[in-house]
Amino acid sequence: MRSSLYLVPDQAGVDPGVANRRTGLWVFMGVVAMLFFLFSCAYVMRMGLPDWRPLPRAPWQLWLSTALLAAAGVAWRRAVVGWGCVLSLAFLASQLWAWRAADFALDANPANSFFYLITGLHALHVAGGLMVAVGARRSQAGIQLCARYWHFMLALWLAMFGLLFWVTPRFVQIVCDAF
Amino acid sequence: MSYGGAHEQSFWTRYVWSQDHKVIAIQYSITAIFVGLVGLVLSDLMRLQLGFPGKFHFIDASVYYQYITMHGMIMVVYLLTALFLGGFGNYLIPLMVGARDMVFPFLNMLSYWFYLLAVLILLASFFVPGGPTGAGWTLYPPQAILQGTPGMQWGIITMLVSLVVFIVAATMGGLNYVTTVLQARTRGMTLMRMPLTVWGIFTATILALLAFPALFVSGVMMLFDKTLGTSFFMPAIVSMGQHLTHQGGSPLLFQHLFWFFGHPEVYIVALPAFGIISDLISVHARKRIFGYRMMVWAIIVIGGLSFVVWAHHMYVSGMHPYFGFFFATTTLIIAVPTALKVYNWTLTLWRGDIHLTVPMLFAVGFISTFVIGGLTGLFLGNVSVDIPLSNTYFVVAHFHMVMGVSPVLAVFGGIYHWFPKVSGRMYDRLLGRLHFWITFLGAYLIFFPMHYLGILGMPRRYYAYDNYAFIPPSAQSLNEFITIVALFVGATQLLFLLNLAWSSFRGELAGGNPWDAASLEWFTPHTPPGHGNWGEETPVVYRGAYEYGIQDGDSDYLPQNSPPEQARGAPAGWSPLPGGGGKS
Repeated sequence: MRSSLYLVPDQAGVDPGVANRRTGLWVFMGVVAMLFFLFSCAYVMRMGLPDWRPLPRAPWQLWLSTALLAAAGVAWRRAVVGWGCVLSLAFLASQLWAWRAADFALDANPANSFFYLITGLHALHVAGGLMVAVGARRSQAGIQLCARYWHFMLALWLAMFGLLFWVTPRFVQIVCDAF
Repeated sequence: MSYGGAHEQSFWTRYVWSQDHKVIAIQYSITAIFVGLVGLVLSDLMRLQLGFPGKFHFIDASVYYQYITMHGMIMVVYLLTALFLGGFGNYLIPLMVGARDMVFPFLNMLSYWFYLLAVLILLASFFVPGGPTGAGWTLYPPQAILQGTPGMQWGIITMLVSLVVFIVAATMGGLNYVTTVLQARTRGMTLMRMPLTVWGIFTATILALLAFPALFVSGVMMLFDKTLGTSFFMPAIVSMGQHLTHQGGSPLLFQHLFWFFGHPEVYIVALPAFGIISDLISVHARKRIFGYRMMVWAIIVIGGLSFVVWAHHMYVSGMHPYFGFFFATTTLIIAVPTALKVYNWTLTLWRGDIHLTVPMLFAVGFISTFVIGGLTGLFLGNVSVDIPLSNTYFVVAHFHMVMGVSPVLAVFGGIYHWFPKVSGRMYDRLLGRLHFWITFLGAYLIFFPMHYLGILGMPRRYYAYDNYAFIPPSAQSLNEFITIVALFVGATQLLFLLNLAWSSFRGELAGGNPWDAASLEWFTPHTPPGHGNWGEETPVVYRGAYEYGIQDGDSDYLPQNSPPEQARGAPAGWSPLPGGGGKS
């Protein structure tokens, strides 16, 4: 970003390019949150039908993935760019391993289809973050924005992990009855 | 410091791989207008079949449904959404808030190229085996991907892929517009001093960012159903005597997701139109917009409400009566802020110094068509009235008045209004007036009779109306009449294109501010504005964008950027700072 484009500094001491990127990232995280919120709504609505067959036990590789993603977030926060990237790639590999280990038939029932769809889309968002991170790693502020995005990816993953394996029709019923 | 000559630019970097918001806006607009022409031709082809059934042999039932689908999708998404956000949004936001460009120019360029890719994929679907999808623009499963629907082989896949690419483009653009409005406003440009056009586009962009994911979700899930055999939306089904492998999907789930996108989409198109009309009316009536703050809040309230009305598109899907009651109530509540905007436009016109320029004609025309379309919306918002009318031409009439004709009139008005800034030249006024009258009267002649056809019970979406005892022969003559008018009005749009093309090169020079408008975009050092928009310093803003009717010699307005000491002759007690109702 050329600083000459911003003759009016909006916040003292803050590079307007960083402020822009920070705002842009918040807006983007809002969009992604909406996207996964809608997937969750679709999942929960589908669950309400009587023929719902829940997913079997979570493959243990997903726990490994969770740890790797959390570690990647910490690496970004500490500004250890190399580890941030390696751990993120390891997360993607571990997700792929989980896919193979789980071996749910994609088209056997909706819960299986949702599992691949939601985990796959989440992995794509991590991969996309990595591609942007290649450009952002040059500045300290950029790395901190990466850390924020990775924390967001972790929170999103925990929400999706929980949704897929621990939200049951009974649980949904209890929540709905409470209103 | 010169921004145009700061670095060498070849033709390619300046006009093709450009990161300048103004060039991108023009690229967006030309692409959108081109694809809109395709949509227009499709509608005329449909009218040929309806007016003269069976006379044109190449239009069989499948082709007719393909025309319906492509016409709807092109007009709503690829023309109107792209033109308002990508075209007007790109051009006007940075100029109106006093920025040098969008905050992420590279992303902005990518947004256009993704949009172009989406358009190309969409148009490619005309040439794939089986042709484009004929599922209707709502693409309801299960029929959209089953035997018997035209284009179920490749057409539906290209359509869904194109939509997904479009959503990526719209998101990249949207991030830019929102961040630019939040971060790159020039000094003094508080939120409550922004022109209503920016407010409209800004709010519509937020709606787009939050609503398009729903279309993305439903599109991706349907792609899975089609290509990978999943059953998100596909129940157990017997098709052509065969049990399909699908089981357990919910078609209703698609309808909820689709309309969670589909209703905000109406306001993604309407809110920028509201903003543009507000600006046009204020400038050409030489009067401060009535109730600026009310107008801003109305935009925000409409935007918020638009997320809780989606199921009024689904009254006939067999929902719980309480559900229908809730959605009817929210739908009718939206009429309040909307009516408020119409009153405020009317009160701005009241005792204004009205100049019936071409943009003003379109703005007043918009109020008329929007009120008509809005009133029939109140009919359809009620469950008990909607159920008998839902599958008739009444809905076609309502929808086209409120979301077809009205936004298009706002687009025309906006283009005529800002054309002198974009090209530096004036359009031909006579051609412009002719274009307005033919389009405006033609729109009424085309769509108004459809209300009667609808109340008569004529069903929409039908390919032919032979042998229905309840449809009298007069309905057919009316259909012929509508078709003839539609062909004429469709051809007239060439006048508009001709006018713009000719005037871009040969029109009389317009000068920097031909309308004596007060908002920032008219005070660029060059017309058309150069790269970087402003001179050495970005402008400083002292008041809102609507200081008209303040007579001082020859001038009757105060530009947003003229310092208070130049505001001579201001009435006693008039303070320059809280302009346009903008105490902030």
